Amino acid sequence: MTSRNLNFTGRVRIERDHFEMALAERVPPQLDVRRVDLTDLELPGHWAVFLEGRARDWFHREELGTVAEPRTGRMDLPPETFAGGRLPRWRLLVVDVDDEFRRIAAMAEGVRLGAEATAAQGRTSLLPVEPADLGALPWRLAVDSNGFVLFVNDRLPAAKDLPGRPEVAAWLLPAVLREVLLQLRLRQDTIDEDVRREWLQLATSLAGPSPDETAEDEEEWLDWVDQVVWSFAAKHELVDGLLRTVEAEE
Amino acid sequence: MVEVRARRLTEEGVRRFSSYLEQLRQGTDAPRPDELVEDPTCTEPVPCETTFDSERTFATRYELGCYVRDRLQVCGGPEREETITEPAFWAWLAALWFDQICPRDPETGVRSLARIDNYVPVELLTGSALGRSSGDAWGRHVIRTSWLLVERYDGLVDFVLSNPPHRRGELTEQLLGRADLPLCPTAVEAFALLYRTKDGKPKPGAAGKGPGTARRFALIVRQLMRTYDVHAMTPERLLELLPEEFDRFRPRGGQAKA
Repeated sequence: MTSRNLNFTGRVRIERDHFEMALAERVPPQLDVRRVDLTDLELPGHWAVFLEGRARDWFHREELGTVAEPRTGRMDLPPETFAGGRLPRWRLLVVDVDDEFRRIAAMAEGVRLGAEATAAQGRTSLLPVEPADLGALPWRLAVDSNGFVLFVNDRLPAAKDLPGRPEVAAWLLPAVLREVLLQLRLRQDTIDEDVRREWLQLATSLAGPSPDETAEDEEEWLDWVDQVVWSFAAKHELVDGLLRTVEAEE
Repeated sequence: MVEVRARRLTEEGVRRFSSYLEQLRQGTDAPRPDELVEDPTCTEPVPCETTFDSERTFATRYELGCYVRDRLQVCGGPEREETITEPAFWAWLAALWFDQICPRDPETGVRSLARIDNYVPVELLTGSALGRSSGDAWGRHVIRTSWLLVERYDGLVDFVLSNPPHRRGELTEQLLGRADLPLCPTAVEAFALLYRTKDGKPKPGAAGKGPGTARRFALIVRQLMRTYDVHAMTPERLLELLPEEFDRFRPRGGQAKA
């Protein structure tokens, strides 16, 4: 007896230009699917298309017809979709209905719609900085479904801008980046996939693809993290920035 | 029995409750401030016009979740939605039953305080040292998580919530720690098929870190959800996809898929 391959990755990526949809925050909230065109993916026309939204305690799935005949138009969403300030994350998927286990054949993850898109546009940084009451701690890294946040002790003057100052960045940012990457490894089963993907894209651009996150051997991952942090420091010339500040003060 | 009209903590109430918890954390013992129950400075009514018995005791988290669910059933529509999505309502309930969810040790008299977001929902803590602190899907709030599981899955989760209210337990940790699991009925039903005994208790060995444990289930099912349309499967079908390490927990007759 053997188990099925859990790391199956023969999935096709659905790009943003394959569809056009938006959310309307009215009562009840509506999903406006203006266009879904997956024909160039060359998938069987009868495979099923779904849009799934999820937030902390909420999940909704909307059937969007098939690859050949996608459903468009306005669709009512559950009244509680935006309750309590929820900002659901969405994914569009095509399911192989001929497969006995209903394999996901194509997917677009981290789809942002309506109010979410506005919120996302307002977020200009991969790592937002927020002043906070941290007691004796100078800084603290936290993560939730929207991503990592760097909290800086609000007793420090101009706390929000501190991490960008060369004399602080040189000491702080490598440590923060290292912690983010270690958390991606340690909390691989809890950190949101979209958040994970964003950070891995950044890290990969600095030091090449990451090792297998699920491998028992942690050394390879730690070595890769070292490379990412080194490349980050080199790219942003952190030591030179620090040096200039120190020399200017002398 | 002392029935209290459902309320929520005001900003001042949240501040005083958090401050009280911080005092406890630093070792200063004191009774829960009385004003957190009905005082208009610290509390205000929620839209849902129900009541809760402040002296009610609960043997398990499941009993607690069932009681809250039943009490909330008296209202519906926007009043109910506005109440259950209000973090300060859950903070008020935690204050109401604080002696149960954070009891004193009978021998030492000392309270064993858990992380603050077990009592004050994490949404109210943003900007504090404990805000946005974990990847937990439904947060860690003792009462809200118990209610959510009962509300969605009723008797299917009695074994997950079989601990007394002040103990979270490994199965809760695994089921609620993964964003996708508690939102997927197929996954929760498969979880129950694997780890629930007929009398609603966790099977021996379900907790822990070894092969086939709840921890492994959460990890593997999350991977499967990225590959298969798990939401549309039956729980039995999902069990077929699990590898051999789960065989010792599988219901009789259920085997891994070849």
